[in-house]
Amino acid sequence: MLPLRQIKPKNARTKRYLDNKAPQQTENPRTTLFLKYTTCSEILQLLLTDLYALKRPLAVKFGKKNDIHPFEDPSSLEFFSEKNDASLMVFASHSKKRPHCLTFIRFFGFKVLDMIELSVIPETMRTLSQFKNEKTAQGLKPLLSFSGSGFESPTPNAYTLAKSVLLDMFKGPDVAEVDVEGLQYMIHFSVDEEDGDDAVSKPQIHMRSYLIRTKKSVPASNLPRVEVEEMGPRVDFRVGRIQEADPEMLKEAMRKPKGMDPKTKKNIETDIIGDKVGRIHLGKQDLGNLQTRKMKGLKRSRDVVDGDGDDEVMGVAEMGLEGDKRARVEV
Amino acid sequence: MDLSQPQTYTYDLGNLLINDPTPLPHHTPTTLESTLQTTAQATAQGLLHQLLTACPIVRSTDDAGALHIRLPAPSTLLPREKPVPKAKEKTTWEKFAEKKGIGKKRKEGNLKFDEGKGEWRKKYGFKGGKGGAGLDGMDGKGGVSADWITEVLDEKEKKEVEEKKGRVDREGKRIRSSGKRGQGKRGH
Repeated sequence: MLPLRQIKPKNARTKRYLDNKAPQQTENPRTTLFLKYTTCSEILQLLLTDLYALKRPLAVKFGKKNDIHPFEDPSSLEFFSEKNDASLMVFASHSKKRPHCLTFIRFFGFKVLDMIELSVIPETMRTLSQFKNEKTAQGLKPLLSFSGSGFESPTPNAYTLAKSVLLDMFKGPDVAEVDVEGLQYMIHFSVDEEDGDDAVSKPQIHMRSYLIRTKKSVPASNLPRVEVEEMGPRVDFRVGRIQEADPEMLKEAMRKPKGMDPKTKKNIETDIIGDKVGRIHLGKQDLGNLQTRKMKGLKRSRDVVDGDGDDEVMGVAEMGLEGDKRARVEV
Repeated sequence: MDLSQPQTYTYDLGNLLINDPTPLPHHTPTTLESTLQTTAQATAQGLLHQLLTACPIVRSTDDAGALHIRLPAPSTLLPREKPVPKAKEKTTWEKFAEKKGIGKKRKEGNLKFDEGKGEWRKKYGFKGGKGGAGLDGMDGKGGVSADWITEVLDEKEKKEVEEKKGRVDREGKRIRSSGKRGQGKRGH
């Protein structure tokens, strides 16, 4: 396929669009594209609709069938990525060899970065509408939860890749603040433990989404008690093929732009409570000029001449007397 | 699962994410849903409690004073969508100027930092210069004076000022004449 012609914007609107599409210091939220293969089971179509509903408005859904094999030739997908400015894709396909298969694809600069194939287990699949309860508003940022030791593997494998892709997929836009009222649902991913006797089949990934209900807690603490109610969709995935990122490309993708970290001010810190603490450096204190407590008893008497030992003793005695008198007056 | 037990959760509050590395409890297909629900409930509670305790809660100014949780920056490393934008290429002139060490010429402004008072003051113009709000140590002569009230000096002070003025005048005259002498008979 020929590379896309470089477009020179002819009007301001096109220029705005192209500028928005160009690489940026702080990136726009990712757009997800949902599309399907020439054969696609009904279960997958329903699931695709539900995932699209969860992802809206940062999503595009294609209705037509596409004869694409992502693991063999992803060039068409790269074309779609560029055309739609979509850097995430969910490709649904169903074949005899790989039934009910969802391929999650992540792009970097409109080129495929990594892919993971997750096949849906049709028996346990439940759609959003099969749970008869209220649903959340569109475009809310969900809470995300990953349970199970499989996701925490120190070496990259299919499960860490799945976690990374799913997190990227569902995290929504990066925001500085969230409304407390907006914390309405949680998407929970969990992975089974690897059983010794069941080594043939890999552990499944369970995706559940729950509405969050906060109840008043015990009076001692002001934190609420949290209850969950399943909202759907309910999906169990079996991990299929994966394509890990090219190390060169991944390095480029993980690069942080310069000047993004806030400048640290020297000697100013914020402690764990959130108070601002500053440190200042004083010069060395001159103890010679230190003004100690003034006391009557140490005052030099008027009629005593300095420098004579006997006189000093006399002076002290006299002052003692004087002090006594003063004390009596005060009483 | 006992919710009161301490958990080994890790959080990424910027993404509203909680990681629960404890293995899922053993389950059969029939108990799967209840197991997942209790796990989810525990993590949801853990995450919400962490959000409410670790993040500052502010009342927003725009939408009817709703309560907002201020989130930290996301900490999980995720790949970028597009490459880091390249720095704009320098023009030929900019490259040349950098090589030669000639910077952009900037006009020196009207403001000058007054060390004594620790503030910026105008050097000339309105409220600037020697007069009025001018720099420290200025006697209020010349310049557009904002402070138009002048102090009335008593006899002694007046005398001192006049003496100083005489000294300065004489010094100036001396310098000028010596300058003339130094030039010789130029122009003849």
